[in-house]
Amino acid sequence: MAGQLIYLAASLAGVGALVGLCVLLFGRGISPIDAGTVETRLREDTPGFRGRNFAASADGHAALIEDARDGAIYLVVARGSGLVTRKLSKGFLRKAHRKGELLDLHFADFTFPKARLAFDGEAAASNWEARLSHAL
Amino acid sequence: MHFNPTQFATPDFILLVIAEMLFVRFSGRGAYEPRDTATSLLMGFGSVIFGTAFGFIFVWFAHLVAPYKLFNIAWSLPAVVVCFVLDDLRYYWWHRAAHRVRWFWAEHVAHHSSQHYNLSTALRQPWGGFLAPGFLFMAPLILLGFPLGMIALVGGINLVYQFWIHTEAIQKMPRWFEAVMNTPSHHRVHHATNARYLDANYAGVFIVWDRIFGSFVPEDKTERPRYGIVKNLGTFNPVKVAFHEFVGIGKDLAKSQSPREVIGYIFAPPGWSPDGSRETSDSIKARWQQFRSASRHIGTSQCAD
Repeated sequence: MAGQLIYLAASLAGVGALVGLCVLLFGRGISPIDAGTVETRLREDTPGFRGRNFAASADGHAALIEDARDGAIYLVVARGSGLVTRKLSKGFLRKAHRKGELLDLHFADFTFPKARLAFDGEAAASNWEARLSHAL
Repeated sequence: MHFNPTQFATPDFILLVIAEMLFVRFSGRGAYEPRDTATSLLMGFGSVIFGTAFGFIFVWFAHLVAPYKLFNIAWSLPAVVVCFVLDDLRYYWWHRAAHRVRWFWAEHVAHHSSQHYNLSTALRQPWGGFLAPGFLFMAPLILLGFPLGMIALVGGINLVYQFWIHTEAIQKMPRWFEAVMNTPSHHRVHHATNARYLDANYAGVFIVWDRIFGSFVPEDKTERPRYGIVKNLGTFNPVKVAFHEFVGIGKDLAKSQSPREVIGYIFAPPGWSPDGSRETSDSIKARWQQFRSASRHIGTSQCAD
């Protein structure tokens, strides 16, 4: 039993060492969210996608963008060096709640329960909250 | 105690991951992300624990089926070779089912959940084997009479082979090798979410199974694979990565309104829904084909103009 515990502890230490080496070599950068990156990614994920009304969160970690074809709104969030995209549709978006310049979005997704976007002003946040109301 | 190839190879796995990290850092070919790597390594660690804890299910199943075996095959080199080839065929069909039946996908999705493709991704192994009956695919080998130790051995060798193909560091192997064996190029296609690459290259060791059963898609130089799953996860939490699709099935079953819906949510392809509002790999491919045809048509019209 003690031998097995030592084996488990050594394995965990090994995992820690490998992750440490990875941080050392590659840093902990977050993907930049800009209109070009977001549009490219959504065109890949959604054939025919044409973006308009792009709005990035002030921290650069999340953005909202509309599909010009049907007005559908997409959320793009940086996760490490990757991007996670979601169409904010009925059933997926549970709640959109604004607090000043902050817009909190709550989702019906076990792995992605919420996202927060910080806008430049209250008007922008309020505008997006209103636009998202049709998806609720 | 039987010989376990995976345990034996683990130190080599670690050394190769370190070597690949250094190669990626200094060549720029491929990518590593620390949180993603941490998740993959922790999933590998956890899979050993879950495998040990629930390994009795396979043993129980094997002993249930073994009395009905047709032959008594003894240990010999030819028997091991035949067992290895047949086990790889078994792997192909299990793997195909793991992508086409949501119940099996719920376990396997964990392995595909990284947006990166490197040797650490190979270690991102599922934890939910005890929740999905993948062991049923072992029945033919047991019924043929291969010893259980031999089946476990060749399964381990199969898993060890698949480690090295999870890399962007190798572009192509020699043509004869690419024709017969599963390679990094073939397996990159398998891990890609590009519509043209979905549901392809299920092979473990021999890519010939895909060529025979019509699921082979070659890597296209002009379309770089994008890795991950159709709806990439918003978390690096290994527990959520391991079990999120089982949670999804549970939620869908809780709101299902007919036996048809229950069966569909469990056995239909991932993404199936009664009203067709979600996307399956088939619907994504159909939409992509439609878009491609329309783009070509517009291109042709413009040329004609």
